[in-house]
Amino acid sequence: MKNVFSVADLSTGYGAKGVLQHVGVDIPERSITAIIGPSGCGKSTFLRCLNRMNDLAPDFHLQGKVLYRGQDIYQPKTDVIHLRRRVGMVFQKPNPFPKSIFDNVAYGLRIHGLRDQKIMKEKVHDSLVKAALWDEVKDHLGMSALRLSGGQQQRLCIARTIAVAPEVILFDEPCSALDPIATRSIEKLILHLKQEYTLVVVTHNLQQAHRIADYVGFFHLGELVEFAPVKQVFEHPSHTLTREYVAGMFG
Amino acid sequence: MNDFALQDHEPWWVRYGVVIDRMVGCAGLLSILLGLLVLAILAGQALIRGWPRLTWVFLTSFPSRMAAQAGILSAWVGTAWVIVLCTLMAVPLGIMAAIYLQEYSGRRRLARLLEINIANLAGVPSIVYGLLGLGLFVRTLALGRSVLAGAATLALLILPIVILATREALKAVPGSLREGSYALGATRWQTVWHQVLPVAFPGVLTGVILAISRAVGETAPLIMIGALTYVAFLPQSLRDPFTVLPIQIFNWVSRPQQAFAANAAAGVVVLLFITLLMNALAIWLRQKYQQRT
Repeated sequence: MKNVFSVADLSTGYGAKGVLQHVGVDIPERSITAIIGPSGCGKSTFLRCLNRMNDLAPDFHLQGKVLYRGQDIYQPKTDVIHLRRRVGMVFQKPNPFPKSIFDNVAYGLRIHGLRDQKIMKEKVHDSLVKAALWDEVKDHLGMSALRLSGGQQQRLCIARTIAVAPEVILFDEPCSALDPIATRSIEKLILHLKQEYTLVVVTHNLQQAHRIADYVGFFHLGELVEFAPVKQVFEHPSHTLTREYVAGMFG
Repeated sequence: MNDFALQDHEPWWVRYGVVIDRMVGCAGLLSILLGLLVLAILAGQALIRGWPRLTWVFLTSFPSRMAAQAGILSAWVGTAWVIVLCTLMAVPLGIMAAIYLQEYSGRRRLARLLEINIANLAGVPSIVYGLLGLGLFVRTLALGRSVLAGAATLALLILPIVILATREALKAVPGSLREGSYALGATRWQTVWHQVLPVAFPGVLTGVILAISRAVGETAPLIMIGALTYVAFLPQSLRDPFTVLPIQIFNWVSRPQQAFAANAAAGVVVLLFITLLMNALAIWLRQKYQQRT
C-alpha cells in the first residue's frame, strides 16, 4: 500500500504558543484516517498542515516535513494553489457560498479556467451525484445554496470539493454542526468516497471514528500518541492514554 | 428557603434594576429626539426663509449683485464637477487600499501601523487638508485654483473615510467564506473578487456614498485652495476656476442685505436635498443588495 502523506518530525505553533510537537505519521491512500483527541490537542492544526490552510494565520510557524506524494509541500517553490486542488477540505460548519447551488459547485471549476458550459454542466452533475445530493436538488439548481438544510449544505460543500478532482479530502469535524440523521448520511457518503479518494477526518465523536475509520491517530497535548488500524486503537491500544481516552475516561 | 427573602441585602442597583432599565431607555429616546428636533428646526427655518426663492430661475441663474436675480447655477455645476472627479479619484484608491489592508497584508506590524495612521487621518480637520491641497496641488503641481485641484483635495479628505468604511465592510464578511474559497485552490484575488467583494458590496457602497456626501458639504478646504466666491461662468475644463454650493451660501450669508439671506436659505435647502438624496440612495442600495443574498 502506498502512502499519500508522510509527515516527519512536524512541530508547529502560533506565535509563542506551540501546538504540535514532533508528529510523525504516514497516511495510506484510499483509506479513511480518523484523527481523534480532546479539544485543543492540535487535531485541526494537524489537518490544516496537510493543505497549508494554516498559511492564512499570520503568526503560524512550522518545522519538520510534510511530504505529499514524496514532495515537501512546505518548500518555498510549492504551488499552494495546485496543492489545494489536489487536497480538498470540508469544514466544521457548512460554508456554502452565497450563490446558487450550481454556482457553488461550478466556482472551483471556473477559477481553474474551465469555460466550456457543456463540460461544466456535466462536472457539476457528476459531483452532485457523487456527493449524494443530485436527487434532492436537480430541479432547483438555481436556488440559493443558503436555503438548503445543514446536512444538504455540507454535502454541497463535499460536492464542490469533489468537482475540482482532488486526490485527498480533509474533513474538519464535518458532522459536529449536524443532527444525527444528517450525520448518518455524511458518514455513509464518506465511506463511499473511500473507493476513489483518500480521506482524513478530524472528529470529536469516538463512535464516529469507530464506525468509519480504517486508521486512527490519537492526539494529546500536541503529540501523536498512537497511530494504528482502528481495531487496534479501540480494542488493544498500546498506550494507557489512548486506552483511557477511547474508554471515555477523559475528553 | 425562599430566594426572594434575600432582596433586602441586595445593593440598590439590583433592587431598582427595572427602574434603571426604564430610565436608560427614556434617556436614550430623549437624546434621539433632541438631536432630531434641532435638525428639524434648522431645516424648517431654511425651508421657510428660502421657499420663495426656490424657483427654476434660481437653479439656472448665475450669481448677481441683485439678490432677486442671483442663482446657484455655477455653484451646483461646480459641486457636480468636483464631486464626480473626487469620486473617480478617491473610490478606486480607497477600495484598493482597503483590500490590501484587509485581505493581503496579513495583519502584520506594518499593516497595523498603517491602519492607526489612516484612522488618525480620518480625524484630521478639513482645513489642514485645505493647506495641503494649496501647497501640493495648487502650487507645487501648479494646477492653480482649478476644479482639478479642488477635487484632488477633497479626494484626499475622504480617502481615509472610504478606506475605513470599505475595510469594515470587508471585515464583516465571514472568514469561513474565504476558507471555503482558498480550500478549492483559489488565489487571493479570485477569493476577493468572486466571494468577498460581492458580499461586502452593499457595505462598501454605503460607506462610499456617505463619504461623498461629506465631500459635498465641505467648504473650508476649498476656500483654502482658493475656490472663488463669485463665479459667473461654468467650468469648461479641469483647469478652470470654480465655486461650490457651500461657498456660494457662505458668500451670501456674509452679505449685509436681508435679500441675500433668503438666497442663502434657498441654497441650504438645495444642499440638504442633495445630501439627503445621496443618503437615501445609500440606504436603498443597501436594502436592495441585502435582499438578494
